[in-house]
Amino acid sequence: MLAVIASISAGIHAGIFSPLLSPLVYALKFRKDLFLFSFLFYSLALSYEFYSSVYDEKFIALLLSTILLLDSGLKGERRDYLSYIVAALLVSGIFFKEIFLFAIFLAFFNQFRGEKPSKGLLVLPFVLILFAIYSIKDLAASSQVALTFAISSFMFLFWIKMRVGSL
Amino acid sequence: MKREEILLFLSALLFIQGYLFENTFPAILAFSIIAYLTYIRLEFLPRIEVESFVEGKAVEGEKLKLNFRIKNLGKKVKVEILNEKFIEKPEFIVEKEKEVSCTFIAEKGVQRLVSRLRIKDLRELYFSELINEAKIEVSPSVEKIREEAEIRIRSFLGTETPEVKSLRKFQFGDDVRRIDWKATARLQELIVKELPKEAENVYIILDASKEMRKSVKMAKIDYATTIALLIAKSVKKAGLIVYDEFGILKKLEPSTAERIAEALKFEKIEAKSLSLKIPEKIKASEKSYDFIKKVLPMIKKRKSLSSGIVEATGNIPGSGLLVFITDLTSNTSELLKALLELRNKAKIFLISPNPILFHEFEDDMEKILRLYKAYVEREKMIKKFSKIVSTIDVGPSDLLQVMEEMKCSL
Repeated sequence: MLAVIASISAGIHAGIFSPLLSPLVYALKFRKDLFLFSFLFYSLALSYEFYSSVYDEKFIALLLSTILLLDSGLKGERRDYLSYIVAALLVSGIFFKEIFLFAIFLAFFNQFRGEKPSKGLLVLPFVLILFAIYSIKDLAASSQVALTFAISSFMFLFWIKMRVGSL
Repeated sequence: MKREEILLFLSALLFIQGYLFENTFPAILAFSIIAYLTYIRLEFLPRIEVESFVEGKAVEGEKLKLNFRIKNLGKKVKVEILNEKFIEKPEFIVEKEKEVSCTFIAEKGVQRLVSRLRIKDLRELYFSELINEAKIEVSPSVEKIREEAEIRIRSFLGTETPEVKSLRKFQFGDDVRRIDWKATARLQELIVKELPKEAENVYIILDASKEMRKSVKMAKIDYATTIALLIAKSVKKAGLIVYDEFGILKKLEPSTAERIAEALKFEKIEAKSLSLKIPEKIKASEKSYDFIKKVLPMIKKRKSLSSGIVEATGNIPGSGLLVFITDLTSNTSELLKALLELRNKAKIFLISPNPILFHEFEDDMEKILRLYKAYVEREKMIKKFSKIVSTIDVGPSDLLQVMEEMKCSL
């Protein structure tokens, strides 16, 4: 539910309607394959509707809320004391812009806490490189897309060694 | 389409969308999804230890629980146990340690249960598999055999002992306690019950060689153990000698059916077809037999130089009733010699499961011709054995016939 509130809240701030589909997507979480297909269409619709520059807080909020929705649908959500506080902050974020971004980061942290990542932290350098490159705003959008694709491709190098079966 | 592939496909579409519409948001979203998948892949390092065990005594046909003790040395994972023989397919989360039980129907003999444990990450995107093999010894069910044998042979089974074999006129010397008063009142002369003579020293000599244990649709050894148990049940106590190609596997002095059931657990060999090897000549040259007798045990690392049947017959004490159960595909000449020697000392019955009748019949003319030839050869061999001892050639459905024919002897 936190992911749904976060998505709707980010959508309201961004002035777009596609995040209103997030409850529908979330409701399909009990059938994982169906959930992933609906998430595919949701992401395409969201990307089609939303246009913004990189460092915009709406951009980051929408991005985080979409990944949050994906993870909540696949893994499920915790229901504890902290989750209720985060939910309250997200709801108030709809009305108070200042706490909105902070609430989204807190929701993201709440979803991944307890995982104690070890090897997963190797993903972090790629995220930092991406942000470093995008500090050069003068690049055309298509060039930025191409650069992002190139950095993403490097991540597949990790996949070669990690041979696991997929469901 | 796999779940990971759906997300990779989405990423590809987002990159294309971002490039065509000159929008960085789809590209960053695609990058984030790939980073998310990479993170999950890197974090999925399952370390699981599994132990399986069965509680209680395993008896054929009963529901049995196979317990799994799962120890997780890594992060929280989801585990699914897959085995077509289990009634349920449990799926659960394992944090540190968990014990789960799965129910299945026990099959007679030494049963090997191979279970696949599918270990999944919490998001159910990736998995790895662990194989667990459990070896379970299942005793044949005496109760089940009793049900299979039907009313006609009920006198051989259970607690209803055959009290009366027949009635006859009273003779001087008969025990007055055996007078049947109802029959006497009806016929107006003294009538006594004639009780059957309990066979002394009933020994079951069972062939548990490789051919007997081969299983296509039904293993001959399963049939043989059923017969052996029926006999053991009908005479209250019977001795058991189990042999294979090279020597004696088990030997029991005259014991109850329950003890015999415990000893009748054999590991079956899964096979696509049974060997139809029927010796063309029962008598081969002495030299070749001597050579094989010396060499084979050394290859197979056996201590004894004699074949299984020779050792088995050497261990039969004295006289009585001997029931041989063998498919006559191994050491046939030696068996013939042994029977020729023993027939003067004891009453012998030979029950032979016919390998052709236990074969899987297919729509293949060549195979059918081969089976027919083998059947004809076997008929000749059975005739030869019938001249020496009472021989019954049987198939999987001939259980009742066997017991009827043995009725007189027991």
